[in-house]
Amino acid sequence: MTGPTRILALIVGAVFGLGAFGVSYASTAYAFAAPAPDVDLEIGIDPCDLQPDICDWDFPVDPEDPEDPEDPEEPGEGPADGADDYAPETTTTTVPTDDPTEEPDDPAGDDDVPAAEPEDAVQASPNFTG
Amino acid sequence: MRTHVLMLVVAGTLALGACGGSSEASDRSPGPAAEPTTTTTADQLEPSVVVPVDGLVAGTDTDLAVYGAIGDTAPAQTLPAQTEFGSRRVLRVVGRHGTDGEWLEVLLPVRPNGSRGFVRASDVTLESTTLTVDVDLAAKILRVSDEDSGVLFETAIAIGSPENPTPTGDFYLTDILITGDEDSAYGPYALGLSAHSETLSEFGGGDGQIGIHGTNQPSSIGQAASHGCVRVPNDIVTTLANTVPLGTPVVIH
Repeated sequence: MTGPTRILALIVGAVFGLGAFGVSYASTAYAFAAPAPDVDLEIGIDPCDLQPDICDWDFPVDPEDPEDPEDPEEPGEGPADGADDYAPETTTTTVPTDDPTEEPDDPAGDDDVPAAEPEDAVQASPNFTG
Repeated sequence: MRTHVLMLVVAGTLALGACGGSSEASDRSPGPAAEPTTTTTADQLEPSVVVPVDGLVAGTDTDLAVYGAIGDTAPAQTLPAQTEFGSRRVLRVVGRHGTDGEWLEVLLPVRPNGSRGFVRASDVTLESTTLTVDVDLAAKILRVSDEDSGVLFETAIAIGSPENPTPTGDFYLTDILITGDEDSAYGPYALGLSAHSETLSEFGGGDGQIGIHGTNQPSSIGQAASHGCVRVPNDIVTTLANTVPLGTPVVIH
């Protein structure tokens, strides 16, 4: 093997060597970084079937902790236990229709009755000069 | 994968064991218009020989004898207890006479304009008002003033045409009429005055009485377009009717 041929062979060997190392490294990294596959899809077995107590068990919750995502429903109330444990949290806000500090527009209910006519006024057809 | 499943099972079993396997449910509990009128009786007034008064109104619930001069024993005329429209009879008092103030000089709501007469103080009930209606024909402005607080409000008006001018002089309010039809030529209210037209002896079945009233021709406001009456916007005549009492002085100049 001549000198140039040997150099070329070394270069080619180095390139293939680095490529093989890269493929191997990427495969290993993917294997560690990829999420664990869904159990049901992989093997068709639900862990709840194997140990039902896991899924039926209600974790104790702290009622004072607003971050606690536990279902506040009583047992037997609403959907089956656990069915909505991870449903999006909803907040109900009651918006008062009236400001309780605001003075009522018509506290005496005067608007409900026709306005009083002027004192001494009489109903009549005038015949003034117009 | 089976290893994963087994790990989950083991972890669940350990967790259940740590909590005793019990389910612990938690309890979660979620115009200013001033009072214009007061009433007094005649014998409450200070006696005097001649006292000019302003804002004094004599009212009666019965037919009222009007005398031509102080001391007359026979009345010159008798005014009905009510006007032809059914309003309570009132007269504007312009003076008191007699050592005990027993005679009242009053403006009469009859022709000719400015007619005066005398009534016995004992025949009437006296009221007073601090309000005055001023009609400025040149400016075509009507103002309502209170003796204590000044001008309450003012408005542009329509006045009599050159052929049928609005008469001038000192008058007073005799009637507050509810027309019952806001779209009528008089608007919702028509206020009768003690004044009469100098050119029309009769109008619409009446004797040519002058009034202040609303209108269904608001474009005429600001013009000399009426037969002698004073036209004001309908909202103003409503305010006026609810502000000024019978007997309120009306000065037209």
